[in-house]
Amino acid sequence: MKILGLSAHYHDSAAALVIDGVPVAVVQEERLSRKKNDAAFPLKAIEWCLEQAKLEPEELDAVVFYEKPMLKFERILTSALRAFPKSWSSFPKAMKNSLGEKLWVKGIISSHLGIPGSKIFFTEHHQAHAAAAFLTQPAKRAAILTADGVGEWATLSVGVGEKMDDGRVAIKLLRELHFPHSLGMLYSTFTAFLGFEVNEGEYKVMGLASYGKPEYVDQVRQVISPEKNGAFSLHLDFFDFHTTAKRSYSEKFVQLFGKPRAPHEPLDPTTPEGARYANVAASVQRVLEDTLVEITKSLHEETGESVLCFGGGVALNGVANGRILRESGFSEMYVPCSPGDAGCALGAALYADRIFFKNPHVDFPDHPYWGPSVDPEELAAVASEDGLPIETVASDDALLDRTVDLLASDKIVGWMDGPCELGPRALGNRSILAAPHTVAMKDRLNKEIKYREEFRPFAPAVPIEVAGEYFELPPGGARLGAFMSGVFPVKPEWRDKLAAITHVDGTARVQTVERDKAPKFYALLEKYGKKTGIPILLNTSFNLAGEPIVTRAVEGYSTLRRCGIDVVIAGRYIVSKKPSHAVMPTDGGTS
Amino acid sequence: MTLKKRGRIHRGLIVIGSAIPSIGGFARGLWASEGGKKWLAPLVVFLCVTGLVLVLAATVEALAPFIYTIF
Repeated sequence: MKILGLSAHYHDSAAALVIDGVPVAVVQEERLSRKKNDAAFPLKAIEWCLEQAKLEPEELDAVVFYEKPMLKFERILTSALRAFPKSWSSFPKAMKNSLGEKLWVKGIISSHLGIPGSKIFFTEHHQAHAAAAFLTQPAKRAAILTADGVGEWATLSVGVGEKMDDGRVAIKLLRELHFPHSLGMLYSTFTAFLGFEVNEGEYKVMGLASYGKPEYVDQVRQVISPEKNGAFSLHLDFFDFHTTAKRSYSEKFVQLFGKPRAPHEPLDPTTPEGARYANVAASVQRVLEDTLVEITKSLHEETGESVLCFGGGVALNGVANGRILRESGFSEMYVPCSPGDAGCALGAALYADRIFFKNPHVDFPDHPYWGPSVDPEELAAVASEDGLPIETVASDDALLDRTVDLLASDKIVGWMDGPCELGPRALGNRSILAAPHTVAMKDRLNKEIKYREEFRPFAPAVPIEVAGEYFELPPGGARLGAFMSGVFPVKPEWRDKLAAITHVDGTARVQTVERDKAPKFYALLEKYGKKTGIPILLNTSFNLAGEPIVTRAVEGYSTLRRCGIDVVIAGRYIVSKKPSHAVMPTDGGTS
Repeated sequence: MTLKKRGRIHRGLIVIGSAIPSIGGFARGLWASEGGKKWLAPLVVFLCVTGLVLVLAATVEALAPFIYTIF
């Protein structure tokens, strides 16, 4: 069967093509449209996916959307009515927003693809999350947890999945928690309070938390209360997200936590005000972790499973994932490469294939490289037009040797290889790579390339077999690190030598690299290890602040021209800046 | 490969055509629900039809002035 999965209209729209049970192509719209977090109906992504399989839309057996728009509309309407009269002013906007394209998804799909309504299906949002988490990993049985801001009504669900010997698949939902009681919304509320953009700045809260002390835990516990089975409820007096789109938190919330930070206000954790914000971040992070640990402990006891699959945007919290793995009782934990809404396109397609159409499960490699491939000739062409120095090497081996020489001499390398990654993390195919040894390198990356806050850490990539030598990985930690999904302590004896990737609290968001999934990147790490004694590289996404990760070689080239990267590599081409090439001022790339 | 481009009116009419059964199905579901949501059905139908009229206004520009006058 040829099934197209789609996610769209809220954030990170994407398309995924599954043929005979195996993903063929998956890409986020933002990677093609070049608009970060593009939520538009993913026409470019659909076109690209169909092109990979040389399919016409009419040849598709089914198109599956990742949520039920009518159910979502019911939630929005019911919430607005419940909050009346407080919601009075925001009601027209909420309705206008919902009654546009978002509600008529079946017709929109039909009108763009020219397929009949009978071929269009819908999964529930958390079913798509659950499928993306369970069906893309190798375990036969697992407990499943999904948690995000909100889908239709569900904000969190727990269940179990089983791939049976005869190929049948079962994903059984045990319980779900409904809006407005949401861990994702709780964290997003604090994200807004701390002056960061909701749905984008949650990473910053997690990074900032390491600079603070959880001194506000008691206050955070006043806004969220534990319930049976590890569940929880939010005290809605402290929140406004359920009544208006204008503000996430109420005046009572401000009375409890103090003045919120304005987005433009400088944030320095060494000042008293900055320390307060860091302490608030540390406190909500602690409570989030405690809550997730309680939920997963309870789920482990209830299901008796040894593997946990965790999906939804909350699963991007690597610090919490590390604690879940250590404390929940599960011996293995799997977070997909794209646990957020983009991954739901793949989840929806797989769910429809295995559950709606009852096709037998087919194993496929659990790597993240499902997107468009890089064309090195494009890089060579554009660089030669501009007269930049291009070095061509004779073999892959020579390329790796040359790259290692550059990295070992503290050059910053834009690295493009093969298909681009699905999800928010660059995992070695669209990465900026650098030596991980000094604080100076971290500062240079922050100031000249990423143009971002100094408190945000950089991640290391390490061959999976030796990860335990440098990082304190619990059992299952190496597996969790495959998609940079866990944060673990750097061993104290290595912290000085890995200063660029060691966060202020001594941890790092480790990527464990497997030879069979990323052979070239793995070989690069090995060669770097032979040269320097430490087979670890700093790996950060190949993009500038406010832009999506690069997809094509020309985008990598454009990034080279606009920031302090020293070289860009694709295929066997190494393009360097002219020695006199000016770097933009450090405020030039912020947005 | 590029998806076949259809005119705005053509696409709008497809959307409207597929919306009507969707609204009917949704309203029937609410009416039959046991969670006390029966009272929501008329409101949902009213809002959805309003939404459809707005889709029509965006689709057939000649109708837009008349439709926006209603609001």
